[in-house]
Amino acid sequence: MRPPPFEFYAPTDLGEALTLSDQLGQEATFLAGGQTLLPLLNMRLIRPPHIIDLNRLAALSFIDAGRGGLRIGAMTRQYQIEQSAEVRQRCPLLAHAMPFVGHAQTRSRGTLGGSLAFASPVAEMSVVLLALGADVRCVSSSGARSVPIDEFFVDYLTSALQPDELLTEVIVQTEMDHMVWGFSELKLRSCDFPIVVAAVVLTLDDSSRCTQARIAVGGAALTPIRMRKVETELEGRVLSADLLQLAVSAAPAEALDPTDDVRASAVYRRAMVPLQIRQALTMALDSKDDH
Amino acid sequence: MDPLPERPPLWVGQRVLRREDARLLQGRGNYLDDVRLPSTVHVRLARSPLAHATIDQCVADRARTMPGVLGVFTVDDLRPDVRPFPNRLPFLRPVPYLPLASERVRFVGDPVAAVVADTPGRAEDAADEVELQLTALPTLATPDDALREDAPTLYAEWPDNVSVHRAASFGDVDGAFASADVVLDETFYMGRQSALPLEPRGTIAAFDETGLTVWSSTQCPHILRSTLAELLSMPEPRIRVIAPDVGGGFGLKYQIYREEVLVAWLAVRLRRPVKWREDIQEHLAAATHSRDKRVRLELAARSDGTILGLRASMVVDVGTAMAYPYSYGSTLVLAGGLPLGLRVQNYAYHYRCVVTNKSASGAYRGFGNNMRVFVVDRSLDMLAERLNIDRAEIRRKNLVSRADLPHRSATGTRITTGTVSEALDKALSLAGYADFSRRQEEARREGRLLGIGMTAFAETAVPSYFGMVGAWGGADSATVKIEPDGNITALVGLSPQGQGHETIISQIIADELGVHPDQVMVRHSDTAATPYGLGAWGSRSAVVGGGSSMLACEKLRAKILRIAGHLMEMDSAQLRFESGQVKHTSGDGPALSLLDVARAAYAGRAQLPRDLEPGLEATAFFEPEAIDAAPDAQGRAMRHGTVANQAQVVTVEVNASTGQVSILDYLVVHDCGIAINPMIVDGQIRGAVYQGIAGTLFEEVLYDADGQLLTGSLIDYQVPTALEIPNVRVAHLESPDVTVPGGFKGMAEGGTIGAPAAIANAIADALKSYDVHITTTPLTPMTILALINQGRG
Amino acid sequence: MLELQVNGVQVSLDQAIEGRTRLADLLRDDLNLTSVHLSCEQGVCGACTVLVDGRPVKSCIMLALQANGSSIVTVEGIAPVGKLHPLQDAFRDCHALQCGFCTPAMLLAALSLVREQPAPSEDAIRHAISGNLCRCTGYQPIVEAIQQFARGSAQEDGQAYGSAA
Repeated sequence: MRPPPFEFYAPTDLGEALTLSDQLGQEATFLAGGQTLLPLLNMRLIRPPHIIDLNRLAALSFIDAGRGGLRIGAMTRQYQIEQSAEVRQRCPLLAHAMPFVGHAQTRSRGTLGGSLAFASPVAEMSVVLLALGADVRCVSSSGARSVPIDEFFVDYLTSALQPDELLTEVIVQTEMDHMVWGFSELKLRSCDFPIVVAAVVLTLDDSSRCTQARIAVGGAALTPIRMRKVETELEGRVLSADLLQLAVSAAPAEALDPTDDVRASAVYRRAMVPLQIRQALTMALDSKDDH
Repeated sequence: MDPLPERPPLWVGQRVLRREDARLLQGRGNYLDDVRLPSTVHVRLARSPLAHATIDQCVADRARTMPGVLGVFTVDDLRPDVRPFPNRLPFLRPVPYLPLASERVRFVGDPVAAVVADTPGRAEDAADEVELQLTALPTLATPDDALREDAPTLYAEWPDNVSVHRAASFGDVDGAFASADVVLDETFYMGRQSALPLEPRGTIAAFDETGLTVWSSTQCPHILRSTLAELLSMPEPRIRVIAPDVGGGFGLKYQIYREEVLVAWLAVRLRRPVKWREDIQEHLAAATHSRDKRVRLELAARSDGTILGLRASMVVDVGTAMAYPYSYGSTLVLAGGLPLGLRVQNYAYHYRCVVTNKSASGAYRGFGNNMRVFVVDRSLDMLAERLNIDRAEIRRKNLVSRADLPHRSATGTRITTGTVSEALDKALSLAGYADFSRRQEEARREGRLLGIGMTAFAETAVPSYFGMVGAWGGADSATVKIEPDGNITALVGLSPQGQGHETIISQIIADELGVHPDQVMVRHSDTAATPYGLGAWGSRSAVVGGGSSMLACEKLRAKILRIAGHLMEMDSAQLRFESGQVKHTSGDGPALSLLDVARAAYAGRAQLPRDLEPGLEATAFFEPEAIDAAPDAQGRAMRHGTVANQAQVVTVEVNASTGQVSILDYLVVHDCGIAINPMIVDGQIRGAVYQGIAGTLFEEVLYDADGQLLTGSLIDYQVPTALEIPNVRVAHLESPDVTVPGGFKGMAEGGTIGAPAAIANAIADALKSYDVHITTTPLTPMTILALINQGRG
Repeated sequence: MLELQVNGVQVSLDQAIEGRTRLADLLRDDLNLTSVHLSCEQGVCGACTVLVDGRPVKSCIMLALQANGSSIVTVEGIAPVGKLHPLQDAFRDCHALQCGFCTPAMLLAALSLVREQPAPSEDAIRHAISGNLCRCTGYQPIVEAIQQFARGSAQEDGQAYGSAA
């Protein structure tokens, strides 16, 4: 089960990578951690004639917690994010969720940028960032732009990245001091993509009133989505177990369109969505008392 | 021969660390893909993407001209040289098949063309360019499809799609049902599985003037040799088959595969070493599958819970049945074994093996026993519920206990020694069954669903094999040589895939000859080196491999005494060979060491009695005497060499919101007679339980209505990881077999056999307030949630 | 041209290496390190796990050319020839292997864990090997072997394998 033949390029800086991409056009695929791409290549499900390896772009591998927010370079390895004290301090939800991604070997090579760019509807990182709010920096030879995470996932396995663009970094500006958060996922086996994954970030005022709720779910649709109806139930109200119950009951009314495959049916996924949201919200509620 | 040792064994029964380990741990295992020969060329198969179609044309012009390609071969190329796979059993419909598809493709993955190139990558590139022009035929996706009146036949020569159907009746079944207080009537189903050894299949063959040499990841090198000889019309002595280190078999590598024959033929054709190694997708599509059985069981009982009679009707999906020796074996075991371990003597069965557009069925750990135990044990629980009798009590009423021995099952399996019922009692005690209701109720008040499930069964081993000569038998062999330096070489017909045969045989021989196991070198898996063996499967190796080794040593001991008597000028009847030394039976006087005797043996006639030939080696073939040559007048027969037994008690928690199952406690009580190496026995039990859990909660081979394989990769075929599998507690009982040397009973499948029953029973217990009806596996979270939702309504 | 360090030895390969050659292929075919086993070739089973710059990596889903400048450790490199590393000893003691096919990868995953967490819990151990499938043992003896090794090496200075690590 070997890959079909291809030309391999290993640029050492961003400019070189973009130039190559421009020259080769549609025939070229970027290769980041390879944890999703290389299995597809081994199985010959994709046959790109050219592969541009991004692993030499050292400038894209960084974690920077400064005034401008938590900036993580696209080629930062998942294990680096997992082990980063800065991430744990600035963005504990991200640190908490990372060990759920694949297994140790996956995270040795897998990158944040690669995961986002693949745009799987159930990638933990995508769902977590959607709950946090973030900006995704997309760079091409002609310039750079920031795409808000809410606009980044366009369709099944399709992101807002244009063919000539490279994802270079993610910026999380959210300050988590007045926030509670939760995370929950359902997997059949540890090594699978989750069936359903939920991440919640709730901003509270001094009387535990939820001033803003961001609830992101993967596995409920063709992309990770925000559960706006559930958020609306929570916003403006004081958190309690009863409120959670009420909010979760709004979940089935969302525009859910889960996939149906041999691992889990759409019916099952649909049933699991409110459950995972409830568990994530309960986790957030329980942590409130720690603050 | 006295089957039990006269003196307490030093080595048998000890937890001897494995000699196989050092090499494997250091990464110096020599698996099929590690075998390297100069000038090797590589085969890649172009396989059918359709489940059922006529082959209109195979266009390989483009493929043939691609870089590195030596040739592209189809069935027409090999037809003049290769005989079709033979049909071994007269009552099975013959399945006409050759190594490559002819006229029709019959399952997704059916190999049509073989592309040979100088590298694996280039062979695969060229195989991509082979164009298969196929015209689709209606799909026989399930046995129901295949059994319809208007269904097309998978094989044009057949009148229908049934490869075999048989019925038999024992005792007075009608009378039993007529006098019953209660009759249960349930239909059970076990989903299709793949044994999926971690190392996929592979074969290398090389041919020159001296003959054919084949390396294959197989469980039975001699059977492979015999099959190649027959199909390639080559004398057996000119073929050498070697099984290198095999990365797991579990029954899947016990079949002789089309690819193996193809590679051998290519080697003869091309006069270069030819290598084939499948990838995981080929493995899931084209290696044999197993399970996939539907059984309707009618059970007649008295109101006190005693089973009076059983009627079983079975439909088995054997896929294309293109499996050698046959796809039928597990059905035979299921049908013949259903009443095993139960007292009931009134039993009737009827079965049909149905062909469909799926990969052929073959052996996988348990081999039909999993289904029979699942059917019987689920029925026992349902009967207990119907009659309001405790589940353990209903088993005590029906299971064979020590007081019943010797016992003969309705179909003729004899249990001479065993602890079927006693093992259950011990398991229940260790699992805390008596206290469980209280714990269950406490948990229920906390909103948690706990359940406990049990099974106790007899486990047959050392099956007879309908071999090359068309008769049933189950022998294996060993040649034991004491070399001139007093150390020992053992050449055994066994062929391991991780069972530790080298270690256990060295333990046995060490005891028989009074030496240290380190003095015994065990060689196996090479038909040029060892006597004929039937391979490792059916839990047979310890019994027949051990047995033949012991018999060979018995012959050696006799010769040792004769030589020693000659050297010591004493009557050999007054001598004793013990702990590696020959002395007078009184214990007084001089001693001769094994080395002394060996030196004399090889020195020649000068140091030997007149009538004794030089040398010090002996060969023995052993087949358990328990196996019947033919059925009796009632059609009953003992088809196995030994019978072990096992009980399992499993405690689970079911999450009613997600349908997920956590195993809180897994307890096994096992009786395999004398355990040669308890460490290896426990390892086999745990490994077997693992595969049982995998098949009960996770794994299923799924096809859609067009015969497309839905579980074609490891992402979809759900093999459990370390996070899904609990620790297993193991306890032992010991009732030695009195009919085999050593008293060993074969084992290693029981863990897999009992798991579906014990786990399903536990889940049913956990969900009893939901009124669910559990009759199938696997029990995935989706399935369980659906059952709960149905039950609620 | 490919330069990398393998089991502590600097290796220079100046033949043309196809882009599609995986790290597993390079190690097995060009460097004869056949302890690296191929099974699923899709990143699920973990039988191909090696250490790259100290981290466990599935070598069937890493390209050889990506390993330029890296330090690779396979099981051949964790102990001197003919001797067993204490972890290997523990595996033998605990009967943590049967057919041996998953074993080299398991050993490396375990070493990587214990290096980072000298006293891992059972849960941490099971997580660390969750990317390594075994069909023979049922995992329990593997977990026990790793626990035994961790307890034993807690008494030593924790230095595990050759200079390559």
